Amino acid sequence: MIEGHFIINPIAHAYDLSDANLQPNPYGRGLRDLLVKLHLVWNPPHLRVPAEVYMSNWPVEAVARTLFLETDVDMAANMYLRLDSWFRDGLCSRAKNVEAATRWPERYLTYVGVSPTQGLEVCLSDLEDQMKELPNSIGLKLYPDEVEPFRSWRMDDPKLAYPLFERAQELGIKTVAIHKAIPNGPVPINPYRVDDVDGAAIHFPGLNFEIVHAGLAFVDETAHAIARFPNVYANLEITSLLMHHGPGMFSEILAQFLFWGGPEKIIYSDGTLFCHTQPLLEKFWNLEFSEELMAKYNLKQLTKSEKALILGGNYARIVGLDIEKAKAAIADDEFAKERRRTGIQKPYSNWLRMYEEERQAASGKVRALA
Amino acid sequence: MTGTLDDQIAEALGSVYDPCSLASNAPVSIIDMGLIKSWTVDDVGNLRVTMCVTSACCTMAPNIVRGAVAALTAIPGIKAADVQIDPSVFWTPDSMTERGRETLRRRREQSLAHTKTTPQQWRQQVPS
Repeated sequence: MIEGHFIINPIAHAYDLSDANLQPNPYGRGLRDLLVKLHLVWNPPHLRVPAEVYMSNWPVEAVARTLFLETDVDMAANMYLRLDSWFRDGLCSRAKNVEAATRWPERYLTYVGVSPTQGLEVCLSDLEDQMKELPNSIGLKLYPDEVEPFRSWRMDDPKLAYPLFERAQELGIKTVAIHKAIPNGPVPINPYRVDDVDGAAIHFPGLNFEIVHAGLAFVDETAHAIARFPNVYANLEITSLLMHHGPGMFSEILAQFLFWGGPEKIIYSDGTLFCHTQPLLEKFWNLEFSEELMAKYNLKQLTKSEKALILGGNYARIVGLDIEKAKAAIADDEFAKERRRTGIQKPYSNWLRMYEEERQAASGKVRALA
Repeated sequence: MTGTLDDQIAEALGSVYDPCSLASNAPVSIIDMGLIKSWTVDDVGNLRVTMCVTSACCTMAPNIVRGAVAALTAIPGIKAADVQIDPSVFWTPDSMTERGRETLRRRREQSLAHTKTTPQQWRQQVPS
């Protein structure tokens, strides 16, 4: 909570970046290298973790403890990621989604994930199976392509995407998050354009569509999409890291989205753990536009109420979350109790401690076996 | 290095297009995008080009480098081309040439005219 405002991080997931999880093709290693470089280059030195920690299988509990003990985030969403042709478990596994939802239902919302390149029949069966397992899931996370071989699909495909969205809506899905703008390695870029979101938004006015990584490429096209359709949103995962790496660029992108879409059409997220949420939240809460930028886009400074919309209000509205009930549900949970006792904890202290404990336990086991 | 060879190098780099601009139907060369920072060529034709990409998370960088090397090594007198990405360069749209900016501006105007997009027009579609 920041000054009484409920904060949601709609993209927080526990990757498995270990060697064992890489698919035996150049793309898995290439995408991992990209994620490593993003962590090292886009975060300031005091917010980086050692390579051995980063390139491991991240526990869901590490994400939960980092978010709810080290930041002002009140709720988060976890996603079953389907980067199947890059990583053996897709990068954040189905089991981790189940763990997040069942251990901390008051803290986590979940997105199910399917891979549309597998065809409609497989997707529908997969979707129904996951929704049986996690019937309270509110989102569907999708990627636009797969590799080895390259294949892609479009959000406006009436034979593949539309029946999938129709069934998802029937099963209670409120929002579809589509990865755009950042190609997952040296792969064809066309699937990462945003023009195919239009058709989906027009045909499914009852669903919401999040353009994930909004602003990192195709900025104008994304800005126009959020201007035109009531149900299309700019999700700032990774884009928000520009507050560290290129603050002027972040302000420019945000100003453009505000001009075209308005504050109701922007959703904060970051993609933690590859970055730490708290410094980003603090920067966003204190963000001020320059006079030049305000003149350029005919904007006023963002008010605290508008920032609160971007940091949680908009997301709560699109997924139908009652913020007062959500506040009550977490008021006395394990994280709230510990947080009251310790205050806000040091960035990454929980993840680093858990990694060290696991390493020592593993080393103890080896000694015992010897 | 002769002026002629410089011209040929600029022309070769001008034939390599930024992949995102191609995907947006507004082809802008890597020269006009402002991605080329400098080049040097030694007496025996070894060319070294320093460039940047528009974002640290640009995964198209290897493809751009490959395209640039192919175009550069086709120049008579260039024995080898080494194209390096300098990650410390922070690109902004201000780095673009006037021609590059004009290409994008025209494309955006066409796109807006085509879709008749106006700021925050979504508000007209929801009850206030």
